[in-house]
Amino acid sequence: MFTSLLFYGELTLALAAFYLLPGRWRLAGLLAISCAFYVSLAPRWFWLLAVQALIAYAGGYWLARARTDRVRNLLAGASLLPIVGALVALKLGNALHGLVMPLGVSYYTFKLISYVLEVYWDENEVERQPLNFATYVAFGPQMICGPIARPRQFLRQLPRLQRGIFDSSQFELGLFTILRGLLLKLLIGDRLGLFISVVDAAPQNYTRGVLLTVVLCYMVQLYADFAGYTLIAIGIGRLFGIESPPNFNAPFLARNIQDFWRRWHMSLSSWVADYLFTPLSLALRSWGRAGLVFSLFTAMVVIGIWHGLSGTFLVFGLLQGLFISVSALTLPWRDRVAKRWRIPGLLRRAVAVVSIYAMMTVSQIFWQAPSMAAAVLHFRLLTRNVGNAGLQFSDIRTDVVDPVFICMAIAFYHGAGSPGFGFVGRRVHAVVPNWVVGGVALLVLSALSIEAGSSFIYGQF
Amino acid sequence: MASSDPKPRREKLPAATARPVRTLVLSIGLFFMLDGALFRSGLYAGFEDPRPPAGSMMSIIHFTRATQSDPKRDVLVMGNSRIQYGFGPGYVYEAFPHFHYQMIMGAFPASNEEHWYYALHRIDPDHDRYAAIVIPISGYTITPHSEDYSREYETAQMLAPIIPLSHLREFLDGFGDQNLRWRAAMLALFPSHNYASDLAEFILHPAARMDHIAERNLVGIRYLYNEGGDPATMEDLKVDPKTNTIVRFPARFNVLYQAEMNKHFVAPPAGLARQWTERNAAFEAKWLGKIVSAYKNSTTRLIFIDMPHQPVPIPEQQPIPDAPDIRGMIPRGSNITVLPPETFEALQKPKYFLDLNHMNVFGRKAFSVQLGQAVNDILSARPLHSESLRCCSRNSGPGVEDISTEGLTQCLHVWPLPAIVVQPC
Repeated sequence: MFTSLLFYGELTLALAAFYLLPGRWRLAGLLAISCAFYVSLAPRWFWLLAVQALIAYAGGYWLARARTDRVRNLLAGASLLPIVGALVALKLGNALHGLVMPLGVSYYTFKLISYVLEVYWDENEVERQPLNFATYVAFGPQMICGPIARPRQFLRQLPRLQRGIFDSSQFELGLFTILRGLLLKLLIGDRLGLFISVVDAAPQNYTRGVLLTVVLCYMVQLYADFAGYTLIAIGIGRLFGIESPPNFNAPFLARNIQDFWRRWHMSLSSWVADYLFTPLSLALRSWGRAGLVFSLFTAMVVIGIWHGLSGTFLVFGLLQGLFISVSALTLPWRDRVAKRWRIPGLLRRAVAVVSIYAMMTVSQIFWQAPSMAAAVLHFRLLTRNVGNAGLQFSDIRTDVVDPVFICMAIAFYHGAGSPGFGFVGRRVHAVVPNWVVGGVALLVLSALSIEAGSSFIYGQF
Repeated sequence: MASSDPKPRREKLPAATARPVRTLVLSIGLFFMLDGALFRSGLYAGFEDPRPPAGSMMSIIHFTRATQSDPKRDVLVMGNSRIQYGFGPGYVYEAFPHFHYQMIMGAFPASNEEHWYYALHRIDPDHDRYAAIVIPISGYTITPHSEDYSREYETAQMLAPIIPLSHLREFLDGFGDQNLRWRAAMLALFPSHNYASDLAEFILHPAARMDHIAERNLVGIRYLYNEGGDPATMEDLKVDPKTNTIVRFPARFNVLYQAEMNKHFVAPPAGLARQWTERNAAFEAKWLGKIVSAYKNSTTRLIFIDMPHQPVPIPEQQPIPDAPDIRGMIPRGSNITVLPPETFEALQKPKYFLDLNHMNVFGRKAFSVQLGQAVNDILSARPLHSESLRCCSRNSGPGVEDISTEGLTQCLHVWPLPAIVVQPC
């Protein structure tokens, strides 16, 4: 969607209409644009979005007025049950009957849960203006891939919007954020995705070397695809004057697996941390370490099955629970060992980078596989050289295979925070005008992006 | 008082408002300027020799336009990869040292009659550049093959950079699918996007590409003929005649290619076969008709041939009982020649094919010689002397039914080389 030129034509019209409106009408305009966007993509499911939003709004409204804890508990339960129930039912329908998930349901459901819980915990968080609330829920740019915005962070920006203030720096930043996202998604993510799709269509045909490369591609491809799309979503939000939370912060430079999850899909992991892990671990603190491990496993399993109710995502979540629990429990011991043996920080960091990438790659085999059988087949083909038909890199089209390693390197570099790029960027910016950078970037985009249908992995969730 | 409650007015935008808009407009302007200068102008295609699908067509156009033509001697051979693999002008000159005509390769892979029509529009806009144009047909009887040419992205990729603006509407309307029509329009709008794969390869292997460009510039137009030349055959292919399935593949084919071959050994269901036959017939009639119409008042002769296109009968390509014949679709004209279907029929044998579609070096040589002979017979009254061929093929004469592969092998070193040298045997 965000990679289609037609979309940018429509976006231009939407932006023109939005900024031509007087300030006090802009919020209504933004809501209308967001609804039109949703209806154009998923007309059959707009009613669900509207009903869910209504339930959460009414729930929040009555929660803020409730005077007793019993009533508040009842209201919170009554609001959350249909919201969570609908998501679970849809995920079950998807897993059991192949039901196509309504667009953005996982993202807006988490927004709604977040809102109800915030009001449940603090009645001052209630949003009484239906227009504000509806805009928060339906905000178009965050509908396809998030980020999952928190109510307070989003709603506090709306008065500024209604005053009709135009922030030119933010607008320009938005343009370049979109451009960065497109470059990352179309030039890197899609090329790696093409290689993965070619080999994964029949992995048994390929040698272990090819399969290992594909498996090593999973993480960087997912990063380029998802981070690219998120940057586009954040950029579009900025064009409308809305700042969205970041989703990635140099995840490949994480110090340990806990740190990785603080840097990867941040809006989801922080959501799970705030609304599930923290309350659960507080409730179970009397259990000691067992409570911590239980909370970690629960949080990671929820992250796993948020993607889909299937065995592969469950195993992904369990593996993450295992990695993060072991890492959390052994962290003090590892610190002591590093101190006693005077292991240089750089070496420790390098070991962390490699081991985290390896752990995530192993779990990605389950994440990427369409079924448990396919995941097991991957492991079998990787560990035992049986059944492989022996196709090598040279048997794959050169335009598919040749760019793989350089794309992997670029995606990893970007995912490691692009060290040194800021310095170079500032020097370039000092001498080259923005429009030249923009023009050349557009040419690179046009001349090097492939026509691969440009699907978006996280769009399915 | 009414004046104390002023009517809300639109916020005045600060002066800085124009900055992002200016950046955006200038960026897009610069992009179109660079895109046009590098890619729309043909500068990139002319210098860099881009790879198929978009590039090979551009190369053909580039070279043929850059070459001085002789309308009395030049014969352009259009076609797709079947001709690229199956035809080598050098074999004609080698077989007939006094061959009067100059055979020009106009074939590029993955092309069809629509591509040829637009390529001819660029190569020969006045319809007077060639003595004859050979148009190969892969079987005169329309087959129910599943490929829908009007829904192929490759068609859009190949044609978008060369399509004249006056034909843009017709070109876009040719795509049956709305989504594809939109993508084709994008390709026409952004020519650089046609070269995405090629440019990536150039960036990744600049030295190899520069070597290739240097070689091409040295050899000139004849580099276009440097395809094929593989002596592998399809003689190891075994098909069960009862089930029409492949029971043994030549050993060199990997599993991917085997799977691809198997797809062609599934005949479409009767209903689909009729539907696809009608669709394919309409396509052929439209574009062959346009080519003939373009050369209606020209002195250029259009020679239609039924070229060897399959080593064994392929179920997917078996015509339905009352399938239309292309010969009936070609408009009549004094400058039209349609060769009988049996002209090259003897070459449809496994030993002349490299795979299911393309001829090997033996088929290439035999077909080239026979095509040269046929062209000469049509255009000239003078007989051809084929000393070289007699010598090399030993047991057979020109236009032979069955040329021995051993004899041909002796001549293979002659071609391709920068200069055509006929070796005495």
